Amino acid sequence: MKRENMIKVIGVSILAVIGIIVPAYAVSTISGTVTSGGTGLNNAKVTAEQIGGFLVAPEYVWTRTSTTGSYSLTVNDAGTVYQVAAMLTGKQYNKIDRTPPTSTANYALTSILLKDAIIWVVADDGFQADHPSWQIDAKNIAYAFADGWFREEHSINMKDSGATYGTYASPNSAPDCTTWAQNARTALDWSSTNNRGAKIAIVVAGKDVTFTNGDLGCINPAIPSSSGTYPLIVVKDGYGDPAKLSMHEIGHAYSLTHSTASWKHVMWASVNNVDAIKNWRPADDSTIELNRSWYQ
Amino acid sequence: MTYKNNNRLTKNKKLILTTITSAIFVISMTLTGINYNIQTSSSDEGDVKGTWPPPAGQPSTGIPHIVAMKITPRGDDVVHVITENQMKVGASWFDKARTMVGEKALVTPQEVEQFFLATADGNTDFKVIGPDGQPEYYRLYFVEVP
Repeated sequence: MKRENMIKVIGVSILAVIGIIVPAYAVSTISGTVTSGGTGLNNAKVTAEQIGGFLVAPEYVWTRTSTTGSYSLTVNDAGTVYQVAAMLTGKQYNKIDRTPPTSTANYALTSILLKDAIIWVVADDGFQADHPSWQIDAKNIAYAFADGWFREEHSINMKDSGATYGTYASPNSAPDCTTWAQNARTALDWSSTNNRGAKIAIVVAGKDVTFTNGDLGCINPAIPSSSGTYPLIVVKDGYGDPAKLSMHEIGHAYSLTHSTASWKHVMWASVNNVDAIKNWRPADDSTIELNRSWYQ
Repeated sequence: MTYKNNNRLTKNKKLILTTITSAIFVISMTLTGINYNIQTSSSDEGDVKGTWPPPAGQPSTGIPHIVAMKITPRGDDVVHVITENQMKVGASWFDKARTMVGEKALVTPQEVEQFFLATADGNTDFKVIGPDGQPEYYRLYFVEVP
């Protein structure tokens, strides 16, 4: 083939390839309105999460509605499916699939009652020795920092049982987290019949506790598949983002298993590359919705 | 002759397109393979591990705050020692958190990055000499408000 023909063919081929690839990366807008009872909802949260992203972890963006209930989100991957969800405390979580550039998503959210999740807070002796205001600090680390996400996304209200906070004398040289949790359950005598008016116990382990497998938290006895199991959760102090840790462990209490779809999901559990953001994958949101009355 | 040339051109076109398509396929599979390996490195169900701080460029999921909790004294070998001077230049996030202990102190995204840098070793414990000349100890936490 002549040289000029070869150049033409290569040029056409490159343009063809660019023509296929570029639309997949085009910036698009997803917009719409969030209403309730026919009126625009101010300050509702709207999220867009890419489903089946191209090679890398899915894109996640969020915004809030204006006073008229309108919103606009910019996404970077036109041509792929985004699950677009709208939420506000006291309103039913709702999601719609959209594939930009076809990207209008309007929501009419119905009102719902908040469901309590009643919690008994326990701190081990190491945590108490470290924190002069240990009760306030333990509550924050156990669930209060994470409460906003459960409340806004699923109208779940984390609530203190009112019982005196528990104390657990723990060994700093600990076994794996699950065994440590079982030992704590036994020592605290935490059970359905001795529940201190709560449905979940959350034990904050001191910073110096080192679990043999490097865990930061766990749930005992196992991830429940129904209500009435009275789980005991362990979260370790000293981790810089305690809300993310609590969201993960309390997520297990609502029957969520580990995400293997993306390391951006809060239910991702990995030795490395834990850069999970405070976002449950859409399938997890559906599970929490189904189970949100388990611990009231 | 003309026919022969066209036929050769078609063969060459096919060859070039096949090469380009193959290259794209190989790159895609390589990247997919990397992704798969990362995804399958998870631990047992019910446990969670983590690294601190989060990687740069991670998407925001809320309004950033830092909370300082008072802790009992610890040795200088296990805390970051911060000076008044540092608080004025490059550690305003610490000053903000310290002035409202136990509460959420609103910080800027730049201050969050500075906090992540200062705690890149995974340790968020700090010591500072207070206005009365006595040492104060704090454990800091990154707290987003949705």
